[in-house]
Amino acid sequence: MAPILVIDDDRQARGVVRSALERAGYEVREACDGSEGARLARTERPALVITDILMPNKEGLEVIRELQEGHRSLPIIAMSGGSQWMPPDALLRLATYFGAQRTLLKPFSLADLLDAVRSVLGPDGPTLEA
Amino acid sequence: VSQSAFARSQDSLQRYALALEATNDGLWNCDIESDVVVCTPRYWEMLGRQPQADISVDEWRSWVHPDDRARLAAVMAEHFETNRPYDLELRILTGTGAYRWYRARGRTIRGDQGRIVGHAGTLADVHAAREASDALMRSEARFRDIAETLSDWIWEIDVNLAFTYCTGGLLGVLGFAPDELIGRSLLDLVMPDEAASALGLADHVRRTHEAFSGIEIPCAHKQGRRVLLQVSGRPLYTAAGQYCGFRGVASDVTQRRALEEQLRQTQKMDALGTLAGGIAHDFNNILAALLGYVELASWDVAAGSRPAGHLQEALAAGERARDLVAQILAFSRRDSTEATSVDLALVVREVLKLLRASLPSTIEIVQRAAADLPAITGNATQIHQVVMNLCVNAEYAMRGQPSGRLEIDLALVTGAGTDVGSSEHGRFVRLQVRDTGTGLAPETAGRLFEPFFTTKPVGEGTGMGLSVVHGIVLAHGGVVRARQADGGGALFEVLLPVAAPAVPVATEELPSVKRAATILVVDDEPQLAMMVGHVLGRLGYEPTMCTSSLDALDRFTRAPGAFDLVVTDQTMPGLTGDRLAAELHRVRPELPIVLCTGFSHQLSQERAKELQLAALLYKPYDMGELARAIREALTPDLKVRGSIPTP
Repeated sequence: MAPILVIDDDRQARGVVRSALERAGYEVREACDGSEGARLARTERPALVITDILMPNKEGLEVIRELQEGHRSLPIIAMSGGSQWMPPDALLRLATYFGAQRTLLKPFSLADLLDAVRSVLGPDGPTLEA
Repeated sequence: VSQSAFARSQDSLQRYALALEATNDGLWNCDIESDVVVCTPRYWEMLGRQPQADISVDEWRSWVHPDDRARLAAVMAEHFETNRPYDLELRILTGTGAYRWYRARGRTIRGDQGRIVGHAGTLADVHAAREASDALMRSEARFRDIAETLSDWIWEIDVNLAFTYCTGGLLGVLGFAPDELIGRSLLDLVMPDEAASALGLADHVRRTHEAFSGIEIPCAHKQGRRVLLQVSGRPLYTAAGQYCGFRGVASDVTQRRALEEQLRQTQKMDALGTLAGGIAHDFNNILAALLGYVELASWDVAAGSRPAGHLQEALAAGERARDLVAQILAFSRRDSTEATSVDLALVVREVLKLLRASLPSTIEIVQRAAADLPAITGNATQIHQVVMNLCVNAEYAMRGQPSGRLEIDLALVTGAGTDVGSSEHGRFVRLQVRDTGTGLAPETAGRLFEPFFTTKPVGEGTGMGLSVVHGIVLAHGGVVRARQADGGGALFEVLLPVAAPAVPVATEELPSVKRAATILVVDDEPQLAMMVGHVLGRLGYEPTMCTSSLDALDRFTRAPGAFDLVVTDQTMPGLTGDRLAAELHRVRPELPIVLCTGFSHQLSQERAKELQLAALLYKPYDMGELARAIREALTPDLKVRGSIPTP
């Protein structure tokens, strides 16, 4: 199965998502900002992109817009803990408007993360028990 | 007999005249029977008249100022009756044709058997002294009028600090009539438990006799309430140079200090809000990692084992932290109020419906609402939270009591009775939440609305509930305050401005519109956004202000038809103005957008064309320019006809 691309500028936040996904049997690629994420999305051909919204260099919303324009069927999950200017729910609403299928409000439980991933990729993927 | 008596008195006159030359007074002698007045040369000199051998009493009387004649007659009548020497000041016509003030003293001369044969006396020129004393009286009257009409209060105290003089301003300031205070000590006025500053002042006054200024003393109004007086004074000395007390002025600064405190508190809350909002999202990221790794670890330990239990506790703690961050965000989220028309009575009903299920049956709920309350403009969810937090707070205050009463009142009040800075039309909907709980301790009352301030035991409250209330109410242009309720318990009062009816205001200077078009104003500087919004409101538009471009995009995408035009700043965090414009046009290509930019090199006219902007304004632009740009954008045919009024 194609990997899942995780884009987040926060190393620990990225790491925990990666660990959970790997623990559940998915293959994972990481990117530490929007620019790298957009580049890896082209070269790695992921099955799913999980991206933070506010990041340096290129923001998540721009990444989502770009990915949507290049590859309309690529599923995207957006996650955010909000910003100084905006509450997280409003940011996530925007992400949906830009084209994200699912959103996760930080901090989220890993069970919710895996639920979201399965709802996007289908129930036939790897599971914790597998 | 009479002749000889008069002749004798004439002799006396001459003898006395010699004796009185030194005193500079003039002498006169009047014979009743012959009706003749004889005067000394000095007398004539003082009147500036040529000496006359003798004049009639009537002629002399005709020289007296008409206004003084009645007084003269009265004095003379009294004199004849009592036989006591008389002494009066009156104006006499001088040889130059002007009246001057003289002092006339005299007495009757009695002949045999006490019969009156004439009278004699002296005349002194007191004109200069009289003018000076008149001037002094006018000056005194002037200062008395000023002192008595001042809202401040002027006082004098003696060496024992007892009042010797008070002006009427005292009545307005402390509720006492001046008479009530004379003789009482300065210290009698002081708030009993706040006497330190007054005792310090009293000590200073007694010891140093030095002037003081701007000392603040908490005093008790006659009706008991606290009045903060600002007092200045300087020492008084007798003519002999002996210290004899103090004189000064006292002003009521209670209101001023309260407003200053309110302002300080607001500034503090603003700073805390900004700080909290700034760290909250970072904290969410930290929590995401923390909770995530704990959850990961829990996957690898046996269910039901001791480590599994510990990890579960860590997760629970993390979730509490997450809820706290959500509350902090709610407190700091001042700018993202989505305003609609809110019926406060409806909100209260909903909250009470929710609360009734959770409140113990020992708490009676009383709800009162004035009929036909107007709506307020605000965010219904946030207003809901305000009512909810206040009610939950009230419930907590009554916990452990055998019974209690939660009263919720809604009323319409006007600005005059609210001492709130005026709303446009001065009307507020007032929400009062009153409990019968433990009430407010004075030391906590001032800090109630601070974030993280709580009187609850550790683990029972975060201290965010009331600060969230404060943040939301402030964002709605309202006021929240708390005080001890009559009969114990606490009373929380929220005033929210009544929704203003949109009234188009046409001004001669600025082009205006007939129809109320809706305009989304986006600027990350809240003051600028407010200012532009205010101007557009004056022009009859319906502005919605947004201090985040991402928030603006969010609002727009959820209701793309809600706005007729967008005015946006260029330089903003999150999404710059040009990018926002591009995103908005993806949704509604025909949407007119006015972009305002501070740096001309940032955005060329070419880029503006490419973005299909209705107008590109360079800062600083004046409001006339903005108004014209908006008017042209909303009615494009105007531009073709060229009939725009110039501002």
